[in-house]
Amino acid sequence: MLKPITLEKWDHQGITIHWSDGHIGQYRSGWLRAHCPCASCQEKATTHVAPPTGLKLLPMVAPSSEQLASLNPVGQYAYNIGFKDGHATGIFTFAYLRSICECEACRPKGG
Amino acid sequence: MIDRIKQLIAVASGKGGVGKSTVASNLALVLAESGATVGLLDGDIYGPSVPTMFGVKDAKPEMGTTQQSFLPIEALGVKLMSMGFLMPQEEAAIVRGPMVHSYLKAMLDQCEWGELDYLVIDLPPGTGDAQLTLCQGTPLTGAVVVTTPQDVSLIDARKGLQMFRNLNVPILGLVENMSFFECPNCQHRTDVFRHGGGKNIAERLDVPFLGHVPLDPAVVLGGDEGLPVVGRDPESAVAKAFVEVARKVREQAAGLQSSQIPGMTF
Repeated sequence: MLKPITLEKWDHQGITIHWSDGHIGQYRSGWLRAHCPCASCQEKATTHVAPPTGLKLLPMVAPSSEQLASLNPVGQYAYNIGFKDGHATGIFTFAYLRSICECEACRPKGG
Repeated sequence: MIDRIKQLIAVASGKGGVGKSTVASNLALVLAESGATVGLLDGDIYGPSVPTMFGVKDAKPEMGTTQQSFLPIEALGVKLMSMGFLMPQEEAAIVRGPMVHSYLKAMLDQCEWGELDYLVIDLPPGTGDAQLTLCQGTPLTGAVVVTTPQDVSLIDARKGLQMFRNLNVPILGLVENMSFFECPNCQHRTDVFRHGGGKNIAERLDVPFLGHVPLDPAVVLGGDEGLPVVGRDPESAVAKAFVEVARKVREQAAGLQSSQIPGMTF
């Protein structure tokens, strides 16, 4: 089972995750914020279609900080990642985190 | 307070009525009899059965070392905690999901479990609030899934196994409970709920098979009298089956010391 073994921080700017299979993953905090899988961030990221009521939806609040505040484990399968502006609703499963790894080897498929 | 517990083992099932509490109680008792320090948390908020099964249904927990903590009830060498100790026996716990979460967290974190080799957690059936609370909030060592042999139970057992897989909880194995009935007079064997489905599904899903536990009225008597069958009738075939299940669980869990996922604050 894929699990993080140790974490290393680069101030507030990012994090290195040493995975149980030996892979060393790199993640900038802004990259993590941009890939937050919470409902609000996903909603913001998708194209909006006008709601059938015609009521205008309020725009999602833009992040005021992309700096990391915390990585709290959720059981054995995910991290709840918090940012300095208080945004902390994203549950990043280990599989998802691994899929968005920014290290040199993963970057081509990670984007 | 689970920081001094070496291994947390969840006993789960997809379907109700398959003997999960019986397996959990007997597993806890066998582990305790082998010399380990053991706790048993009754995670069934709506239908707690551990107090009855251990003959302590009128016990009330004492306050612990702080105003927010309480002590587990000790019976037969096992530390117990259950909703059954926290509210009158005849009273129903009529609560919604968020309260189930709160009660479970309280029983885990506010109960002074002390140093334990194993905490066995008897989960309610299904894949809902209680299961998610435990899988997300505690570093489970692994899960034992209980099923009976017929399809209607096996289908739900698969769902339970799938949930643990999705949540990265190692599966210690599958137990086929009520596997068969052997007549005590003529030794004729009847497969009351069919037989072997548990083993087949374990093989198909590539999880360890922990054993066939026969159907035996002694289990019911043990449960009602407050002494699980491994203590009440240790020479019976059903007690021996539970001992074998416990041996395999111990073996499987030994390679999986509960590992804390590292966290970080900036």
